[in-house]
Amino acid sequence: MSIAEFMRDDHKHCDALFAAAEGMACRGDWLEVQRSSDNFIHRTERHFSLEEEILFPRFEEVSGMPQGGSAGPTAMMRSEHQQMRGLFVQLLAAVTAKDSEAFLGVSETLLLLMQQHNAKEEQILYVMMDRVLADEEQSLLLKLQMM
Amino acid sequence: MNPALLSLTKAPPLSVPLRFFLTAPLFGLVAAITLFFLAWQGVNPLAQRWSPAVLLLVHALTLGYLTMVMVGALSQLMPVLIGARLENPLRVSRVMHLLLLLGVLLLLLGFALQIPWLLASATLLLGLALSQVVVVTLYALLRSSSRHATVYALIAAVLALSLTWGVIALLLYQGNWWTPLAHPYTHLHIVWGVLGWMGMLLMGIAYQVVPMFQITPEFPQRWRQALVPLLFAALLLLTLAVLLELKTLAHLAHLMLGLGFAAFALLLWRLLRQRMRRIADVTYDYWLLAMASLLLAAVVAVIGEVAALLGFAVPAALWQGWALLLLLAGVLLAAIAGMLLKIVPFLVWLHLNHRFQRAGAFQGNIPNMRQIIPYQQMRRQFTLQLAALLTLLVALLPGWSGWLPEALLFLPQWLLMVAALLWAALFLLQFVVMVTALRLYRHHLRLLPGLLPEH
Repeated sequence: MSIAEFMRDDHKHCDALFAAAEGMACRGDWLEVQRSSDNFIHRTERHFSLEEEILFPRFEEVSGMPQGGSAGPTAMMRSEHQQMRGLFVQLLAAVTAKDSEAFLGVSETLLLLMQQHNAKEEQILYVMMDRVLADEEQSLLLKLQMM
Repeated sequence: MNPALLSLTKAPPLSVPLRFFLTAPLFGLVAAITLFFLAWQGVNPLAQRWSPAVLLLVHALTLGYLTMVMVGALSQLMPVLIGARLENPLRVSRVMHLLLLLGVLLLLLGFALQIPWLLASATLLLGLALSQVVVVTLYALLRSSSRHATVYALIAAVLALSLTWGVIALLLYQGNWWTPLAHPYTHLHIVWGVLGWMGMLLMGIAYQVVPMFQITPEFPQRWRQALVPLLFAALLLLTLAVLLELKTLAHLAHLMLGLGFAAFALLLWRLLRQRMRRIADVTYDYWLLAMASLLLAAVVAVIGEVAALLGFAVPAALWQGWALLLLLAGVLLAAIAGMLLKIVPFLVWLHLNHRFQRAGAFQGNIPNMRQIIPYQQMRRQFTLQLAALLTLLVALLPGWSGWLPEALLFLPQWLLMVAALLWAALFLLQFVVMVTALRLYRHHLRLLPGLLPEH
């Protein structure tokens, strides 16, 4: 398995959890909405950590890419993570308020942001990572699985 | 920096796609109004395909609406779908939009007034606009590191677009800018335009956006890789058959096209049914409508071809006209309407969020997608479009007036007028919905103090 494949599978997993939470919100069982939203957010935050704490720093270092804070591609991905975190907060606020209209509006926005973000990572960034980090692929995969 | 990586860094400004999206419904309105006047005069557009008014209607739709939206969407979708960014998107899109707009206007005027020099200048302007589309897209595609089937579908689509223009420009030039339009080569212009340019573009985009936004499995990989080459080969075969006047080969090529698109429609339908999302979604319904129409168009075409191969005297104009009607009004208008309802509210949100983030303002005040275009509004639009499509199809159903009692003979013409009005209402609604979204964007930007204007 390559880094790209590992991370792509992780995206698919987050997608499934998203669909489950969204489906619950339609049915109005708020206890379940809370549980499934927590699941989804928790898993997605873990995915962000894999990137922000393990993959991006190594990639920036080995490829000589600009670090976080400047206008580089990994900085852009981090900034989109921040945008998604903003929507997580709004999503949980909608759960607390038991407001399904707000929930579905935020979740729809989140889905589009998330999917275009994932597509860019899968098509470009992960492919580059497989190439640039080929020498340390096994040790990085181990770290990703351990986290 | 590597150009692919660079494409991660910046989305094109909001005005790049929106200038195309906002123009399109106005040409849709022109098409609907033309249809109304045709119906008023008792003209069946399928029976008089080569009359200038029908040509005006068709090109307002294919160039003014469909191509207009597709060009706008490409600039937005390419970075996401294939990791390729357009260079200087703002400057390029301004020129592209202006050339396309003027080209279409002159063309429609040329049809309306039947003036050759108008058609000549329209052909020139459209040639410039479309070659810009082709060059810019090909340049981005060839530099993309992606090897996804979408890349090949888009390459095939823009090649088809150049041929669509090339064939008709040649015919017009040879015919002193007013040709015998029922020329066999005109058939190539139509097929390369509708099936090649628009059909393959739709396939390339659907391969990715359906799994992404409906959360479905991937489009089956073997089919994904085989379909576009197969259909492109069928189009080349058809071209050869028309050039060499080989009737049987032309029938076989048509059959291949029908079967290929039928396979695509069935596979995408199955994919849609496998979606993980459990909530109602208007874009999902639009995809189902588009694929049902595509399957129907393919079945009509295949039956017609088989009948012709077996030697039955079925008028080709009849089923070809019907297949085209279904492709334009059923497939493409539905798929595009569904896509716009996702892309427009998302872009408004994305750009607002970006501006608020940069200004360090609280982002919780930004309206979400369903506040930018309310769900009920989208639902109403879908119902209106479904009604417009069904009325149009029933009104144009061949031969049914023969069954009507004399007192009801007015019904087909009357229905066609109703259909035209419903389509006009739909395009108007589409325009209003997008303008409202844009006004919401401007309104929220004004809440940010001391912000520099950005295109």
